[in-house]
Amino acid sequence: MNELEIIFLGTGAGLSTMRAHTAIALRCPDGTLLLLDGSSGNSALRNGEIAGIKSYDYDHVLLSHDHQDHLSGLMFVQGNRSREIPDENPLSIYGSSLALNGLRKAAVAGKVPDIRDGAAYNHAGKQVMRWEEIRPGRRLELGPQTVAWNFGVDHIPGSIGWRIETGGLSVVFSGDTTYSRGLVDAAQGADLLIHEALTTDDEHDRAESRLHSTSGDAARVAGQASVKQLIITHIDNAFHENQAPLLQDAARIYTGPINAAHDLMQVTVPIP
Amino acid sequence: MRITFLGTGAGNSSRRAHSAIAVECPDGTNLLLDASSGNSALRHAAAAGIDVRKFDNVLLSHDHPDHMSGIDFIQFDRAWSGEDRGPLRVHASYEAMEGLKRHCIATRLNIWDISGDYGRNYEGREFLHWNPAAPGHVIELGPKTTAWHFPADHITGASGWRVESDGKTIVFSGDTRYSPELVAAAQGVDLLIHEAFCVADVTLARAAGHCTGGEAGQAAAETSAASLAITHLTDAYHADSQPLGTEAAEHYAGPITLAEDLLKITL
Repeated sequence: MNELEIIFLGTGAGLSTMRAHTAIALRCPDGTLLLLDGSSGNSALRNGEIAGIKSYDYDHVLLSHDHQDHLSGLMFVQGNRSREIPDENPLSIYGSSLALNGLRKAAVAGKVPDIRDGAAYNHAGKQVMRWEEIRPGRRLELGPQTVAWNFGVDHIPGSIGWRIETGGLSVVFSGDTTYSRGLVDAAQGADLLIHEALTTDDEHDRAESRLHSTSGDAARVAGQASVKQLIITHIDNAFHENQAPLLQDAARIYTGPINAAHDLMQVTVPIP
Repeated sequence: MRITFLGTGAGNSSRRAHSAIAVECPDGTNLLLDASSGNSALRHAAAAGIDVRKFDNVLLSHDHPDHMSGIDFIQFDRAWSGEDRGPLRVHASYEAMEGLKRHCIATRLNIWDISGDYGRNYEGREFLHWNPAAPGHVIELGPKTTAWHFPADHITGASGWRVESDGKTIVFSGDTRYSPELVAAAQGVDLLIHEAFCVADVTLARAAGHCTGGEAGQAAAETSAASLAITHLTDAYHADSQPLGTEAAEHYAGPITLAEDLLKITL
């Protein structure tokens, strides 16, 4: 493959009743398949199935933070994966210590039978999930030509964004955040920035009070980081049908290409 | 009485939303039978034109995440609606209610305190009202609507529910193996909503805590139910669920509906 493929499995904000919650699949040029966040319920599984991605196709999961709309779907991805391939084939998950702690607590309450030493085991004693805390800035080798590292963003404690570099391309995912200087630094020159936005700049105070960005904030980050392309996601019900206000708001500030994500949208970035 | 299937998939389904059924009763009482997972019940309700914020009661069959974890987002949506409709009332067996409370305190989605009769947010505001009940205890849900639960054969604390409203009666099996308690509780119902996991292999179904299409048909026949709906389908029966119906029809002569997401039945 000489391109990077991004498949949006979930693009809804936490209170969305119209879209699946946040999950993004990245098919890298070297064949590595990454999942950025796990949505909620079985939404990542269902939209993955429609997009031709199976639960057992994922090589690694990168988590942004400990909110249920971003991580609670991982248990169902794991459950389906273990059923489809009963051999030991644990889902590999990376995140901040606080996000992994949240995942572990939800797994205990969800009756996962055995959790110890950074892994979860099923009734047959097979490892079904394993997780590792990754501190900001540490380079993670995820595939032959794929590396990733994370950086702190401004949402709840333990919130991070991710930069993925693969086959000469770079993608940055904001996770959930208000306007973040750390994100501007981490996103410098990226081929694609995937940034959240709850609403437009005229409601900046409301967005900030809910620890989220505006489409203007997303555009400011895109401009200040000189990224080549911006995709806005984490869409609230108010903009489910019509994303034009978000796009117009961002276009005042950032002059590069801007798109708004929707569930099952696929974007390819060719290797130059 | 209008029944809308918001989710009809088994726990490992990658094709359907997890279990949730909206029941709109003639006396204006609205209730959910199970809550699905994630925001699936909310999304399918929106697609079906149903406002879940007007649903004041959830009847839970058991505390597996595919049946109850959607309560997180249902109460969160209600909390942010801007209207004060009071806490969402959750009804379940004592054991399932304890499982739900453990889930809520682990996920901390709006609910920070589970003590006493309520789930409260960080300000102490009540958003969930725990109503655990013993099997057979009749709950008044509306002027002409009552419900009670009976033991199902699945995990500890699993139940089925019988709902009666203005002369119409439905029974929901929850997840269960073939259950004599269900047969006793579902006598003469207008609609039996029963799970089915597979066909032919009773041993496999029992080991998984579920039943076959034939056993669902057997339960419908033994209760003289006026109609049967089969739900909780695995991926193997997503595209073609007819084998489950065919096997049920070997035992039951009445009308059989094979449920799918967004299907509506009016009684």
